[in-house]
Amino acid sequence: MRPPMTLRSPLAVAVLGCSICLLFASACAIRLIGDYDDVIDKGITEFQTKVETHLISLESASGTPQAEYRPEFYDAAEASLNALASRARASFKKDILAKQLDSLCASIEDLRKLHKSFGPKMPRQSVEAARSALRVHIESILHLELALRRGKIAGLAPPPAPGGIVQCE
Amino acid sequence: MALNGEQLMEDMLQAALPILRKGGADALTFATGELRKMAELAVSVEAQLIAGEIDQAQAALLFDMQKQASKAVLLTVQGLGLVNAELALNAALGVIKGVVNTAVRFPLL
Repeated sequence: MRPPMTLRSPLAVAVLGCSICLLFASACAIRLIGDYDDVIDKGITEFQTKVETHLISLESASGTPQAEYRPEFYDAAEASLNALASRARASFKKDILAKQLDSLCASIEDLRKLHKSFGPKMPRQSVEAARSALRVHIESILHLELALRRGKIAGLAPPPAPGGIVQCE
Repeated sequence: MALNGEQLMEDMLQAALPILRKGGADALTFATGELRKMAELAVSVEAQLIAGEIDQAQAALLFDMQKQASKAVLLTVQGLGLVNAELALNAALGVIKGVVNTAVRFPLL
Protein backbone atom coordinates (compact mmCIF):
# COMPACT_ATOMS: atom_id res chain seq x y z
CA MET A 1 0.00 0.00 0.00
CA ARG A 2 1.44 3.36 -1.01
CA PRO A 3 1.95 5.95 1.76
CA PRO A 4 -0.30 9.05 1.49
CA MET A 5 1.17 12.09 -0.21
CA THR A 6 2.31 14.67 2.33
CA LEU A 7 2.98 18.36 1.89
CA ARG A 8 6.67 17.74 2.38
CA SER A 9 7.13 15.14 -0.35
CA PRO A 10 8.92 16.27 -3.55
CA LEU A 11 5.92 15.26 -5.65
CA ALA A 12 3.59 17.44 -3.58
CA VAL A 13 5.97 20.36 -3.86
CA ALA A 14 6.09 19.96 -7.62
CA VAL A 15 2.28 19.77 -7.87
CA LEU A 16 1.90 22.87 -5.71
CA GLY A 17 4.51 24.63 -7.79
CA CYS A 18 2.69 23.78 -11.00
CA SER A 19 -0.62 25.00 -9.54
CA ILE A 20 0.91 28.33 -8.63
CA CYS A 21 2.37 28.55 -12.10
CA LEU A 22 -1.04 28.01 -13.70
CA LEU A 23 -2.67 30.47 -11.29
CA PHE A 24 -0.21 33.19 -12.23
CA ALA A 25 0.00 32.31 -15.93
CA SER A 26 3.30 30.51 -15.38
CA ALA A 27 4.79 33.75 -13.97
CA CYS A 28 4.99 35.13 -17.49
CA ALA A 29 5.33 38.92 -17.61
CA ILE A 30 1.90 40.54 -17.72
CA ARG A 31 1.13 43.44 -20.02
CA LEU A 32 -1.69 45.77 -18.99
CA ILE A 33 -0.86 48.79 -21.15
CA GLY A 34 0.94 49.50 -24.39
CA ASP A 35 4.52 50.60 -24.84
CA TYR A 36 5.97 54.11 -25.14
CA ASP A 37 5.74 55.36 -28.72
CA ASP A 38 8.15 58.08 -29.77
CA VAL A 39 6.14 58.75 -32.95
CA ILE A 40 3.15 59.65 -30.78
CA ASP A 41 5.35 61.69 -28.42
CA LYS A 42 6.87 63.71 -31.27
CA GLY A 43 3.54 63.98 -33.09
CA ILE A 44 1.75 65.43 -30.07
CA THR A 45 4.62 67.82 -29.34
CA GLU A 46 4.59 69.10 -32.93
CA PHE A 47 0.82 69.43 -32.77
CA GLN A 48 1.10 71.49 -29.59
CA THR A 49 3.59 73.85 -31.26
CA LYS A 50 1.17 74.46 -34.13
CA VAL A 51 -1.76 75.04 -31.79
CA GLU A 52 0.18 77.50 -29.62
CA THR A 53 1.34 79.38 -32.73
CA HIS A 54 -2.24 79.59 -33.97
CA LEU A 55 -3.56 80.87 -30.63
CA ILE A 56 -0.79 83.46 -30.36
CA SER A 57 -1.74 84.66 -33.81
CA LEU A 58 -5.41 84.97 -32.78
CA GLU A 59 -4.37 87.15 -29.85
CA SER A 60 -1.74 89.31 -31.50
CA ALA A 61 -3.66 89.85 -34.74
CA SER A 62 -7.10 90.20 -33.12
CA GLY A 63 -9.42 92.39 -35.15
CA THR A 64 -7.32 92.15 -38.32
CA PRO A 65 -7.86 89.98 -41.44
CA GLN A 66 -4.98 87.79 -40.27
CA ALA A 67 -7.17 86.54 -37.40
CA GLU A 68 -10.16 85.69 -39.60
CA TYR A 69 -11.41 82.13 -39.62
CA ARG A 70 -9.74 79.90 -42.21
CA PRO A 71 -10.49 76.18 -42.32
CA GLU A 72 -6.96 75.09 -43.31
CA PHE A 73 -5.49 75.14 -39.80
CA TYR A 74 -8.38 73.16 -38.31
CA ASP A 75 -8.52 70.66 -41.17
CA ALA A 76 -4.78 70.00 -40.86
CA ALA A 77 -4.96 69.75 -37.06
CA GLU A 78 -7.80 67.23 -37.14
CA ALA A 79 -6.05 65.23 -39.87
CA SER A 80 -2.88 65.02 -37.71
CA LEU A 81 -4.86 63.89 -34.69
CA ASN A 82 -6.80 61.32 -36.70
CA ALA A 83 -3.54 59.86 -38.00
CA LEU A 84 -2.11 59.61 -34.48
CA ALA A 85 -5.36 58.08 -33.20
CA SER A 86 -5.24 55.48 -35.99
CA ARG A 87 -1.71 54.60 -34.94
CA ALA A 88 -2.85 54.27 -31.33
CA ARG A 89 -5.77 52.03 -32.29
CA ALA A 90 -3.46 49.83 -34.36
CA SER A 91 -1.03 49.47 -31.44
CA PHE A 92 -1.13 46.97 -28.61
CA LYS A 93 -3.21 48.16 -25.62
CA LYS A 94 -3.15 51.85 -26.50
CA ASP A 95 -6.92 52.35 -26.31
CA ILE A 96 -6.58 54.96 -23.55
CA LEU A 97 -4.39 57.06 -25.83
CA ALA A 98 -6.82 56.58 -28.73
CA LYS A 99 -9.66 57.93 -26.55
CA GLN A 100 -7.55 60.89 -25.49
CA LEU A 101 -6.73 61.74 -29.10
CA ASP A 102 -10.37 61.43 -30.22
CA SER A 103 -11.30 63.73 -27.34
CA LEU A 104 -8.60 66.23 -28.40
CA CYS A 105 -10.02 66.17 -31.91
CA ALA A 106 -13.42 67.07 -30.43
CA SER A 107 -11.79 70.01 -28.62
CA ILE A 108 -10.23 71.28 -31.85
CA GLU A 109 -13.66 71.11 -33.45
CA ASP A 110 -15.01 73.19 -30.53
CA LEU A 111 -12.25 75.73 -31.14
CA ARG A 112 -13.14 75.81 -34.83
CA LYS A 113 -16.77 76.61 -33.97
CA LEU A 114 -15.65 79.29 -31.50
CA HIS A 115 -13.43 80.90 -34.11
CA LYS A 116 -16.25 80.88 -36.69
CA SER A 117 -18.56 82.38 -34.06
CA PHE A 118 -16.24 85.20 -32.98
CA GLY A 119 -14.64 85.88 -36.34
CA PRO A 120 -11.33 87.78 -36.09
CA LYS A 121 -12.26 89.29 -32.70
CA MET A 122 -12.09 86.41 -30.24
CA PRO A 123 -11.74 87.96 -26.75
CA ARG A 124 -8.33 87.49 -25.15
CA GLN A 125 -9.84 85.69 -22.17
CA SER A 126 -11.59 83.23 -24.47
CA VAL A 127 -8.34 82.51 -26.30
CA GLU A 128 -6.68 82.03 -22.92
CA ALA A 129 -9.46 79.67 -21.78
CA ALA A 130 -9.10 77.61 -24.96
CA ARG A 131 -5.32 77.59 -24.53
CA SER A 132 -5.60 76.36 -20.91
CA ALA A 133 -7.95 73.54 -21.83
CA LEU A 134 -5.80 72.39 -24.73
CA ARG A 135 -2.59 72.57 -22.66
CA VAL A 136 -4.09 70.41 -19.90
CA HIS A 137 -5.32 67.98 -22.52
CA ILE A 138 -2.01 67.68 -24.35
CA GLU A 139 0.02 67.55 -21.14
CA SER A 140 -2.14 64.68 -19.91
CA ILE A 141 -1.36 62.70 -23.05
CA LEU A 142 2.36 63.44 -22.80
CA HIS A 143 2.42 62.65 -19.07
CA LEU A 144 1.17 59.13 -19.71
CA GLU A 145 3.48 58.53 -22.68
CA LEU A 146 6.49 59.67 -20.65
CA ALA A 147 5.39 57.47 -17.75
CA LEU A 148 5.46 54.53 -20.17
CA ARG A 149 8.97 55.50 -21.21
CA ARG A 150 10.09 55.61 -17.57
CA GLY A 151 8.27 52.35 -16.94
CA LYS A 152 10.22 50.77 -19.78
CA ILE A 153 13.42 51.79 -18.03
CA ALA A 154 12.10 50.67 -14.62
CA GLY A 155 11.04 47.30 -15.85
CA LEU A 156 7.69 47.19 -17.56
CA ALA A 157 7.35 43.91 -19.43
CA PRO A 158 8.53 43.93 -23.04
CA PRO A 159 5.94 44.04 -25.81
CA PRO A 160 4.30 40.70 -26.50
CA ALA A 161 4.54 38.69 -29.68
CA PRO A 162 1.85 39.59 -32.22
CA GLY A 163 -1.57 38.49 -31.02
CA GLY A 164 -0.44 37.84 -27.48
CA ILE A 165 -1.22 39.59 -24.21
CA VAL A 166 1.33 37.78 -22.12
CA GLN A 167 5.05 37.73 -22.70
CA CYS A 168 6.78 34.57 -21.55
CA GLU A 169 10.54 34.38 -21.19
CA MET B 1 12.04 22.60 0.86
CA ALA B 2 8.23 22.91 1.16
CA LEU B 3 6.67 26.13 -0.11
CA ASN B 4 5.17 28.33 2.60
CA GLY B 5 2.02 29.99 1.22
CA GLU B 6 1.92 32.68 3.91
CA GLN B 7 5.56 33.62 3.36
CA LEU B 8 5.04 33.60 -0.40
CA MET B 9 2.15 36.02 -0.07
CA GLU B 10 4.13 38.23 2.30
CA ASP B 11 7.06 38.33 -0.12
CA MET B 12 4.76 39.23 -3.02
CA LEU B 13 3.14 42.02 -1.01
CA GLN B 14 6.55 43.36 0.03
CA ALA B 15 7.45 43.57 -3.66
CA ALA B 16 4.15 45.00 -4.90
CA LEU B 17 2.93 47.41 -2.21
CA PRO B 18 5.70 50.05 -2.38
CA ILE B 19 5.17 50.30 -6.13
CA LEU B 20 1.43 50.67 -5.74
CA ARG B 21 1.74 53.26 -2.95
CA LYS B 22 4.21 55.45 -4.82
CA GLY B 23 2.30 55.14 -8.07
CA GLY B 24 -0.93 56.08 -6.36
CA ALA B 25 0.64 59.14 -4.75
CA ASP B 26 2.12 60.28 -8.08
CA ALA B 27 -1.20 59.86 -9.87
CA LEU B 28 -3.01 61.82 -7.16
CA THR B 29 -0.48 64.67 -7.37
CA PHE B 30 -0.89 64.82 -11.13
CA ALA B 31 -4.70 64.71 -11.04
CA THR B 32 -4.95 67.35 -8.31
CA GLY B 33 -2.77 69.79 -10.23
CA GLU B 34 -4.56 69.36 -13.52
CA LEU B 35 -8.08 69.38 -12.16
CA ARG B 36 -7.30 72.56 -10.21
CA LYS B 37 -6.47 74.24 -13.54
CA MET B 38 -9.81 73.01 -14.87
CA ALA B 39 -11.66 74.51 -11.92
CA GLU B 40 -9.95 77.87 -12.50
CA LEU B 41 -10.91 77.68 -16.15
CA ALA B 42 -14.56 77.09 -15.27
CA VAL B 43 -14.54 80.21 -13.07
CA SER B 44 -13.01 82.24 -15.89
CA VAL B 45 -15.62 81.12 -18.42
CA GLU B 46 -18.42 81.93 -16.00
CA ALA B 47 -16.98 85.40 -15.45
CA GLN B 48 -16.85 86.05 -19.19
CA LEU B 49 -20.47 84.93 -19.55
CA ILE B 50 -21.63 87.18 -16.73
CA ALA B 51 -19.65 90.11 -18.16
CA GLY B 52 -21.38 89.61 -21.51
CA GLU B 53 -18.10 88.97 -23.35
CA ILE B 54 -19.39 85.62 -24.60
CA ASP B 55 -22.86 84.22 -25.22
CA GLN B 56 -24.29 80.92 -24.01
CA ALA B 57 -23.34 78.99 -27.14
CA GLN B 58 -19.74 80.20 -26.89
CA ALA B 59 -19.67 79.39 -23.16
CA ALA B 60 -20.95 75.91 -23.95
CA LEU B 61 -18.09 75.37 -26.43
CA LEU B 62 -15.48 76.51 -23.90
CA PHE B 63 -17.01 74.29 -21.22
CA ASP B 64 -16.94 71.37 -23.64
CA MET B 65 -13.22 71.94 -24.22
CA GLN B 66 -12.80 71.90 -20.46
CA LYS B 67 -14.83 68.69 -20.19
CA GLN B 68 -12.70 67.01 -22.88
CA ALA B 69 -9.53 68.05 -21.04
CA SER B 70 -10.85 66.71 -17.73
CA LYS B 71 -11.64 63.45 -19.49
CA ALA B 72 -8.04 63.29 -20.74
CA VAL B 73 -6.74 63.87 -17.20
CA LEU B 74 -8.83 61.03 -15.79
CA LEU B 75 -7.81 58.73 -18.64
CA THR B 76 -4.19 59.46 -17.80
CA VAL B 77 -4.85 58.59 -14.17
CA GLN B 78 -6.37 55.31 -15.37
CA GLY B 79 -3.30 54.69 -17.53
CA LEU B 80 -0.92 55.47 -14.66
CA GLY B 81 -2.85 52.95 -12.59
CA LEU B 82 -2.27 50.29 -15.23
CA VAL B 83 1.44 51.13 -15.44
CA ASN B 84 1.76 50.73 -11.69
CA ALA B 85 -0.34 47.60 -11.55
CA GLU B 86 1.83 46.05 -14.25
CA LEU B 87 5.04 46.95 -12.40
CA ALA B 88 3.63 45.62 -9.12
CA LEU B 89 2.29 42.40 -10.66
CA ASN B 90 5.54 41.63 -12.44
CA ALA B 91 7.54 42.40 -9.29
CA ALA B 92 5.35 39.99 -7.31
CA LEU B 93 5.65 37.35 -10.04
CA GLY B 94 9.41 37.78 -9.95
CA VAL B 95 9.35 36.85 -6.27
CA ILE B 96 7.32 33.70 -6.98
CA LYS B 97 9.71 32.67 -9.72
CA GLY B 98 12.76 32.72 -7.44
CA VAL B 99 11.09 31.02 -4.51
CA VAL B 100 9.33 28.31 -6.51
CA ASN B 101 12.43 27.48 -8.55
CA THR B 102 14.42 27.18 -5.34
CA ALA B 103 11.76 24.97 -3.73
CA VAL B 104 11.46 22.56 -6.65
CA ARG B 105 15.20 22.67 -7.31
CA PHE B 106 14.97 23.20 -11.05
CA PRO B 107 13.99 26.15 -13.29
CA LEU B 108 10.29 25.38 -13.36
CA LEU B 109 9.40 29.04 -14.02
